[in-house]
Amino acid sequence: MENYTIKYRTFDQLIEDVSVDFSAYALEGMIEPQQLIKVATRVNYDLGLRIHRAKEVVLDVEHNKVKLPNDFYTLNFAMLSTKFTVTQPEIQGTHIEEVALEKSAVSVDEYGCPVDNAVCQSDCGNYYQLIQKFKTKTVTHEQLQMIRIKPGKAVSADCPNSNWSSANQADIRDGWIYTSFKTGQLFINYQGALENADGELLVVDHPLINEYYEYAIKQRILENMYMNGENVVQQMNLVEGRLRGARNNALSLVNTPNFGELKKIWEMNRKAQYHKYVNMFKSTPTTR
Amino acid sequence: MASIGEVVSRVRNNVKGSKQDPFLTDRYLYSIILKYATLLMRRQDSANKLMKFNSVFQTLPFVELIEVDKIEAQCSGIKSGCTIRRTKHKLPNFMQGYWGPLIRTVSSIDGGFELQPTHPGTYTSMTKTSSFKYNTTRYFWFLNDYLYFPNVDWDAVKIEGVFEQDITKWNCDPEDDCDPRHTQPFNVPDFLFAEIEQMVVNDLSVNMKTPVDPSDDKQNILR
Repeated sequence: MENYTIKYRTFDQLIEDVSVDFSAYALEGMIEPQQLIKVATRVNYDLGLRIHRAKEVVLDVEHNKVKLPNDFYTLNFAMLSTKFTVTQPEIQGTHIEEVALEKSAVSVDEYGCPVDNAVCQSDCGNYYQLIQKFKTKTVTHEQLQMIRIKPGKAVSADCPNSNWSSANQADIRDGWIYTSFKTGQLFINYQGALENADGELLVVDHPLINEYYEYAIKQRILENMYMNGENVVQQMNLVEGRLRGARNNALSLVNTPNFGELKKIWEMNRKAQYHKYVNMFKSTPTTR
Repeated sequence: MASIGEVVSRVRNNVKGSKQDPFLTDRYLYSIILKYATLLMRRQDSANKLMKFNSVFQTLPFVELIEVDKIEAQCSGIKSGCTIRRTKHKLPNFMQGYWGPLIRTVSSIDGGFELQPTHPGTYTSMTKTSSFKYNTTRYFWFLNDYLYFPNVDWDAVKIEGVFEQDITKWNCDPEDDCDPRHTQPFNVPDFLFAEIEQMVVNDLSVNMKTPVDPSDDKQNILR
């Protein structure tokens, strides 16, 4: 499952769905949202990082530090913009854009990677450049450099910055990035926390995954009722079984590679096989 | 729904009581009926079988709110920045259910937002949890015949519940303000009447039993 295929809904919408199913319990005031938020966050965690949305932002480092976005969850990668041009004076507001480039206009090396390090290559093989557009100015980032970031909880396991050697270093602590350089423009790509712009908790909205959320919440409602002395043993047994099935379905759906990912694996495999069986004859001229 | 007068008269017929009996007034009968009705309503509530009976619930469509101090709301643990409101006047008596007063819904006056019942201590604990930032639910609690509302800035709310008292002054309808109490509905499901009547008759039969003559008085004077 890739980020762009995921739809989200708010936690309140999920609770409304459960309340419709448990209408009698809802009327009796047995559904207390505060008790169920942790269930939804646990299910989010159980489904893994693949359900999180990847986001990008350019941060202005000042006095060796910069605050991370409020919805920051883990870092995918970070790059320092060492050369950029500003075309108009700044007033207010910003948005970031990745401008697609013509393949013919990009000069590439023997491995197909762009020579100009301001140009990035997407998974699909398209090239793009980081351009930051404000209301009254445009910043074109012409040179991006990898920096070293100290591994930690807020850095994803496969973040390339963790294994990179560079004089420019950074460390993520308590919602801030502390850098070894005093000022600069830091471009980060991160997995956003499951929150919307209003700070509401988000959950995945997919027919198969919804079942998992709903049964997990129903299980907790019944568990709390049981603890309060209600006789709901039968209902609990029923929901426990359904929850197990729903969890398996949801996890298998989330962990199934999509077309892009399968293509990437196929390409890696082809490259490996080529290296193993064909590369050795590369110096031998082939007669046609 | 039967009126209070009808219910009282039905019980009076069962005990073969007469209207003129000074020891069996309507008020006395109603008090005994209410005693058993409360007991049975509590039983129904504990079995989660009451809230779906629309007919027993009455609505206070516009209950004014005022801002109060958090100490009064027994919520001193809440950090600053939280406004607490309460109903301006004490509410009419609710019938008591298994978990407290029988309140089905408290909502905004248009019914668009429903509030969730809680307790001052529970709410204070909630505000201290890390996940509370995700909680968009509005809460209320019942204390000293008032309802308290943290983080609600409305001027009024709508309350739906089962009341023991006359609520004609609260329902924004001046026409029924002078209705006598015995013509007002008795807010208990009809299917409970059989049990209520039986209990009331049992109760009254002890008091109304004709005393047995002492042995001396049983002697025939003509013996």
